[in-house]
Amino acid sequence: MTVRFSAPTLTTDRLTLRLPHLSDFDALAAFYTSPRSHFVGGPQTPELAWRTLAQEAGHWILRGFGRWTVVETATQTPVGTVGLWHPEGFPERELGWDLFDGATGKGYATEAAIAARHHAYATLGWTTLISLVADGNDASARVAKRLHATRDVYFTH
Amino acid sequence: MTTAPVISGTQLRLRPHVLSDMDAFGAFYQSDRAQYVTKPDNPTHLWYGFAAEVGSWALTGMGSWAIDFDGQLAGQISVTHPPHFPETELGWILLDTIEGRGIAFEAATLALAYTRDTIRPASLVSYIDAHNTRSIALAKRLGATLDATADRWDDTDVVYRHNVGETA
Repeated sequence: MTVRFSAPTLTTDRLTLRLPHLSDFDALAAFYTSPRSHFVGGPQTPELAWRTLAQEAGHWILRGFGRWTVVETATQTPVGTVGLWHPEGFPERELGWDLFDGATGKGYATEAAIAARHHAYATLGWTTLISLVADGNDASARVAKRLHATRDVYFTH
Repeated sequence: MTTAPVISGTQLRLRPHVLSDMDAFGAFYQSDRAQYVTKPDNPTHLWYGFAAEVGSWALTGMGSWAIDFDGQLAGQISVTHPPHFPETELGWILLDTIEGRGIAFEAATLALAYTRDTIRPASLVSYIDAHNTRSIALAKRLGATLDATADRWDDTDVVYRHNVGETA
């Protein structure tokens, strides 16, 4: 491929952010086929959940950046997907976070998003990011506020 | 991360997809040629599907190649085994840019050889819509035979079975 990129593993106090692996499929499919995914394009069929995992990996190759699988370091359990996202049709590069079942309420989304944002600004040299949060997704909006993001416009997609 | 290996044939080359290939697939999905395949709803979903074709290599060591004919994109050939497929599949999308030169047959033959030598799946089939006569003709020309009893993910498909020989 012509895109060259470094895909660093990021670590925080409690989390490891690494590239998506095939072994993440069960955890990711459990999330994307559950009602909890309804703010982020779900619930999906298992077939679509496979495409979702494959597109996470493909995003890294096509764009040179992407979203990491967030692993709870102590247990090595995948707890979510967090990182930098810019498919065709998005207005700007996004900082996004999805937490799997059982991983909420621990501050993991905020902790992982701070590490991903630091990578974007300090390593990639970006100066801004957006986060697209669905109306009614209050938990996600609280993460955005903890990150000191400010409300901008509505975007329909 | 793993991407598709470049494989050169006599008149064409299989290579990794690049983003500039995507517009041609967008046009394909808008055309009558896409009547037998699932279509993306919007540009973002087209991009997601395209990224998934690329990302499949990183996750599974197999995926899609772009078919490159003298610098021109002629289509896509893929070897994939997503969890919902009963078996590994050889699949293809041929664009209308170049026809009648045996491009599809040569691309599929190159992909078949790579599959047999390197991927070495336990079995290999092509899932084809029962009405897609041109695609069925290609499967037959490749030596595949109809397997009426094979499991399939989509009831409207027929299953053509390729010989991958003895695997380790």
